[in-house]
Order: sequence, then structure tokens, then C-alpha cells
Amino acid sequence: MAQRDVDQIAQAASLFGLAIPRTALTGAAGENLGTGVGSSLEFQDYREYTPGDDLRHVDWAAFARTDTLMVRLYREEVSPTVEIVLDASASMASDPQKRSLALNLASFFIVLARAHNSRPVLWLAGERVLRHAGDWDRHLDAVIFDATVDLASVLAANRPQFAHRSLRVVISDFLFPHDAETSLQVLSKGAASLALLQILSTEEAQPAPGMARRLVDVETHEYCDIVLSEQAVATYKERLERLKGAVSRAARRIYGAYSCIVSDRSLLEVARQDLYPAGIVEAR
Amino acid sequence: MEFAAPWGLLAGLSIPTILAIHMFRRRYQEKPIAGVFLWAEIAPTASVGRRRDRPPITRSLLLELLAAAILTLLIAEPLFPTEDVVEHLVFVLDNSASMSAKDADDTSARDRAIARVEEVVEDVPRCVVTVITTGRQPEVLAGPAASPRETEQALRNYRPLLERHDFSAALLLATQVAGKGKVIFLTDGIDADRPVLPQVAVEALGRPLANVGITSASYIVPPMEPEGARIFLHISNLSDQELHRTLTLRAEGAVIHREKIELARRSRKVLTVPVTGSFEIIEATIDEDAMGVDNRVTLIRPKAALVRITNLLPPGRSRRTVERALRATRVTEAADPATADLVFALPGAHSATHESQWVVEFGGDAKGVDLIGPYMIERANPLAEGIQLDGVVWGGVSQEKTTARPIISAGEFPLFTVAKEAQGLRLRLNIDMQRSNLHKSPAGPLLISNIVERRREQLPQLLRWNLHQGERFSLLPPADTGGRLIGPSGDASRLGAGRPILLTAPAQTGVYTIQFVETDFDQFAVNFLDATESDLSRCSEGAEDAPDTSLYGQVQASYAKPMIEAIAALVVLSVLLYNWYHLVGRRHDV
Repeated sequence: MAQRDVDQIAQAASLFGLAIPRTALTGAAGENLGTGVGSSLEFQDYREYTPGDDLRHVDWAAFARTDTLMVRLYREEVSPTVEIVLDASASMASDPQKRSLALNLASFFIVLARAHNSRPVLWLAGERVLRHAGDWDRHLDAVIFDATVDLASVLAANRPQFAHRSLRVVISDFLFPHDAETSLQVLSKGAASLALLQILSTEEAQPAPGMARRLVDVETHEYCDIVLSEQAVATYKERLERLKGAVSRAARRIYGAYSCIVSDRSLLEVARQDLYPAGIVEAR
Repeated sequence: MEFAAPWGLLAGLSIPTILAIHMFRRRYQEKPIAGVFLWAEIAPTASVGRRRDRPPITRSLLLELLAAAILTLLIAEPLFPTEDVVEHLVFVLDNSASMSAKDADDTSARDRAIARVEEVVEDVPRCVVTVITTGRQPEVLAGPAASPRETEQALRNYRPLLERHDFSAALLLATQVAGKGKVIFLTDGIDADRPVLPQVAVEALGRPLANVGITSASYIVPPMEPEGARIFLHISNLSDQELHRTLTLRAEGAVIHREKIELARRSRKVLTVPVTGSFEIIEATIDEDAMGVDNRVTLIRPKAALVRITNLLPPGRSRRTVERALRATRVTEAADPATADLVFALPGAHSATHESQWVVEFGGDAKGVDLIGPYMIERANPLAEGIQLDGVVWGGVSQEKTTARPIISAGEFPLFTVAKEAQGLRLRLNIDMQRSNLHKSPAGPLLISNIVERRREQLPQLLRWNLHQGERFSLLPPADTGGRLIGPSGDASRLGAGRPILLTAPAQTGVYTIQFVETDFDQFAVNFLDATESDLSRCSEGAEDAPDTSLYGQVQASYAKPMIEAIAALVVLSVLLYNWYHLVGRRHDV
């Protein structure tokens, strides 16, 4: 079973950092500016002193000029919550490379989040949605991609309590019949930013014409007998493009980022060729 | 276990069929993927060939096989014997006319046979009965395994009237029906020569009687001399005493002849009665006695079946030979070439004008070869019947090739050929009569006579009008349409199709009418003419028990029927539900 490639994750994390959106964030005190006032060095405004205010923030010079106690307000500096939603359905393990890349990406974003002094949250969407706020590596190593419920269904059924104004990264193949906009409503609700990473195996992205096969869905066990003719493959690709387009459009409407990643490359190549151009990571 | 409908077991062929379907059904290599919905309904599934494989032992297969087996049993209607068995009495009744002969008490062997059957049936408290009557084709009068009441009713229809015949077919059938049980054969005389079957007990119920009967009869009208019509009769005294009888001939409701006949013991009188007048039907009767069926014959005047001839041969030896032969046959009349049945002509001088016209060509080649044999004659062909060509010089034989079928040939030379044409038949005598001596040989007129007779057989009419019971005859109907046969009592039966129609004279004596398209086509009479059967002095009483058994067979009186319908319904329902769930419910849009 393909596992996470720790070295490659470390290498990628040394080259790329989490792209923090310009929209306001919430989170624990940190190095990113939040929406509230806080204790960062960036001056934001004044207001009159009220009992209980930190006396260190009283602008004594302004008191001297105006005889009014004014308190300097500084923009709050926060460390954003990074939530990684990993689709743990069986389709994510339909190909070993795809499975491995999904785990590496999840691990990569946890590393990036931690590099921003953020506390990452891992959401594993299997038969149920489980929240893991620590010991991520152990949880990632224990993931069994065997759920027979698709991501949209499990999210709709479980309604996970995502953090407000968090950065969300969703790792899924999105290969299930769904309405992208409806599916993304749950994922985007209250998010400061949303990145959708659609992972496809080589065969899913570029199926080759060939013999007749019984194609069996790894999740639903539905099947269809089909001759993988050029025409059939072309029709499939056309449908896949429509599906990708729908997810991409839905992501754009909510100012999210979308990237379709084929699993035949290393994490570093994916970061360079897919995540960076999509604005999901930024160069250090 | 027995089966009410054993042919239903053929449904068991569905089992190997199901296995074959499972073995040869299209199988695809399975490929697990994500998002099968993207592949659904892309294109119709194409054939990828079939490959034989070990049949998968699936629940679906097992259920289908079980359902097929149970349905097969259901169709075959299995019957499970119970302890309830009854005696099976099997009787064979002699169906020959002598069984109907009445003695001084006005009873017949038939009456005694019926009484005997009823007596045996009454003696056995629980029984079923099968009664078979003898004949060329034995018939089951009651049963198989009829109730005593049904048997009693069926015996009322027992009317023996056949000429002498072989009983073995009926006895063989009876022994098959009886299994290992005894068969009782009721007849009117112990015949030491009759082959004995080990299971058959013979009971003779006849009594020797004096009888006079008409044992042969014919109505003759010479083809070219209608005024010479006459009736031939044989009247036989089959008793050991001298007897008198009065012969009466009636036609059109009037007596046309009557005479007294003195008959010495065991003698036969041959009578020829001229018929003055063209009566269609003449009935000859003698005084009633013990056996009625041989005291009366009905004779139908034979019709002249004349072949219409045109002789187009030029004057000369050929023409003279043909004319001489035609005169001898006495069954021809002159006709014009368009309507003639038979046309004699030089080669190529005439073509058939209608489908049934035969053209006989006489002609050779003046420069042809003369042959003295050896001659090859196709003896199986009726056209060559009786032809002997020893010493015949066949002269002027043309050497031209032909595809016609040779009837007579010499080496590579066909001498007499037959060819079917688009219309009619073309016969060719490859001969120059001037250089031959065929006309001096009996073969010459015989050949022409054969041609005329064969053509006459093709005429659309009966060739015989007075028949014995069971005599086979053929009929060429006017068209290929079904006809009807109206019996003496007015009952009608359908005639088979085809040309010619092959018929068997029925057992009931009297006049029969043939109809085509509701129009009377012809009539024929069936008479009982059998001196052996009319001889009632051979009748006797006695019994011979079955040599190897004295027990009747036994049959199952009732059968248990399992609840196979309910089981079948349950299994079939299971198969449907299972297959629906697995093959339809989980299959995606394909």
C-alpha cells in the first residue's frame, strides 16, 4: 500500500507556503492579520479608552494633545485555521498513485498550515465525517479508503462544523454524480478561502481505448459492460470535462481555487505545476 | 413415480440449455473504476465473441436449474402410485362378420361375447376394462382402463362385419395393454393354426351353422359394347346339406331378374345374368339366412374410361402398327389434337397442347444404325411391362444426344425415352419402322398398349367401382382440392389431399359417393365377398386358458399428486426476485 512520502512533503514544504487570501481571516493569534483588532504592530485606528483596556495601548501623546485618553487599536494578528477535507471514499484508492498523492497532499497542507503556526484540522470524510485536530500523521496513515458513500452525500448527511473564516482545502476526485454548486455550499460555508483539489488517476484522466470490459464502480458496485472504443473514450472524456468544468465554475463563483491533479506525478511536480499556478500555494 | 404427460419431460432440455447459457454467456473482464456513471449509456454493448467457460456455480444458476427441473416435473404431471390398485381386464373381440351370424335362438356369437364380458366384469368387484376389436387396424372399443359402466355402453357399438383377417395385431396390442396380466380373446371358433400368445386365453362362442352366401360378384360392361353388360355372381353353399335359394336382381326400384337356385352341399354356383339396360346400380340378393351380410351385394356399372387419341403419323408402317394396337386395347376413342389425351406423331411434329397430354413420337434416322441388341429395359417402369425384345431388329436409330430418361436402350443408344415437358409428357420411340421388325413382335403392340393403359390410369375418374372391404384403390381428383366421402348411411368424411388420393374401402357395405366442391364426382360400392368367413360350419364353442398366467393385470386406481405447483411457483418467484435484484437492480443503465 502506498504511504505518504515524508521526504517529498518536506521538500515541497520548503519550497512552497500556504497562500493566504486577502480576505479577512479568523483564527488564533498569529502572524496573519485577522478581521478584529489585536496585538499586532500594524496600527489600525483609535478609540476612546474604556475601563479594562490594556494601558499599554493608551496613546499618551494623543492624551497630551487632546486631554482625552485614546487607545491605539492594532489590527489583530491571527494564525488561520486550515481545514483539510480528505475524501476517504473507495474511489480515492482506485489507483495506488491516486491514493498516495491524496495522502501526500493532505499531509503537505498540514505541514504548510503548521509552518504558519496554524493548527490544522483534518476532516476525514468516509462513511462518516471525522475531525482530527492533532496526531495527523497517525490518522493519515490509518486512513482506509473504503467508504461507499460519496463526499457530497456524507457532508450533506453529517454537516461538519467547519471553523469560521478558515482556509479549507478539499481533496477528492469528485467522481460521483452531483450538482457542484450544491455540493460546494456545505464546503464553502463560512470559509475564508476554499481550494478544491480534484485528483484523478491517469486512467481516469486519460483512459485508453481497448477491449471490452465490465466497468465496476468501486463504491456502488454498479457496472456497465462496454467496449472501450475510441468513440466511447471520447464520450467519456467529454463528460469528464463537463464534470471538471462544473466543479471549476462552482469554485470560481465562491472565489475558490480549483485544480485538477493527475496522480502520475510527484508531490513536488504537483505543487509546481498545479497548486502554484492555481494560487493555492505560494513560493517561499 | 409415473407421469401423466411423459412428453413433458422434454422440457428437461431446458436444464442443459440454462447451463449452456451460463457457460457461454458473454463475460467481460471486470475492471474496478471510480465514476462508472461517466461511462453509462455511451454505446450499445458490442459483441466480443463468446467463450466457453466453466459454468459458474452461482445462486442464480442453481435457482434457475431448480426452477427448470420443477417446471419440467410440473409439465410432465408426476403421479405417485398409492396402495389403491384394481384389476385390469383386457378383452379382445373378434370383429369378423361370422360373429354376427344368428342361430336358431336368434342370438349370435357377438351377443354371447358381450354377455361374457359383462359376466367377467361383474365377477371382479373392483376393476377397469379395456376392450379391443380385431381388424387390419385394431381399435380400442372401450378404455383403455374404462369403468364397467363405460364398457357396457361401448359394447353397444360392437358390430362385427369384417371379412376374414389376421387377429395378431389386436392380440399384440392387448398384451401390451395388459402388461403381465391375462388377455381374454372372444371369438367364434378355436383355430388350431392361430398363433398362440402365452398371455391370451381364448374363448370360442360360435356355433356351427348352415349358410349360403354370395362369394363373388362383378358388373361387366365391355368398353366398346355397352349392350354386352352382364352380372357375374358366385353363390356358395357352405353347409353340408342341399339348399335352395332365390336370386333377385333389382335396379331402380324394380326387379330385373329373379331365379331359383338349387345348391348341392358345399357347392358353388356361377351365374351370368345379362343386363338389358344401362342401370347404374344393381342390387343382388338371396334369401336371408344365418349370416345377413353375405346375402346381398350392390354393384355399380363401370364407366368407360376411354383415352382420347389423335394419330398424326403419316400413312405407313408406324401408323398401321399404332392403329392395330389401339384397336386391340378397346379403351380409346378418336379426338382432335387439341383435346386428345394421347397424340402419336413424327418427332417435332406436335407439341402438347395441355398439361396432361402425352405426345408419342415415332421416328428414327434413315442413316441411323440398326441394332439387334442386347437391349437394356427398365423393368421397374410400367411402360416396359411385359416387353420382350429377343429377335427384334431396332432399325434406323438416330445417334443424336438426348437428356430424356431411357426406358429401353441398346448400348449408348436410347431407343425409347420419356421426358417431362413444360406441358405434358413426351415419349420418343427412336426407330425407323421401315427398317425394323418390331411390328411383327408382340413387343410392338404391347408397348403401345402399355402407353395407353398408363395414360388411362391418369384419367380423373375411378378405374374400379366395385370393391371389397379394406381394398386399397387410388383416385385422381379433378383438381388438387379436398373432397368428401359420403357413406351408405349418409355420414361424411374428408378425403385427403394430393393427386392421386389413396383410399381404402371402408368396412361398412353399401354405396359410397365421392364429392368434390359439393358436387358428386363418382360412386363406388363396397361388398362383403369372403367364402371363408361365410363358412359358419367351422364355428365352435370352447376355451383355451392362457398358458402362462391366470391372473389379470393390475393398474393404479389413484395417484397422489404432490404440491408441485406450489413449490414450482415458490422457486420461480425466488429466481425472478433474485435475478431482478442482482441483474437489474444493481446494473446501471445498460
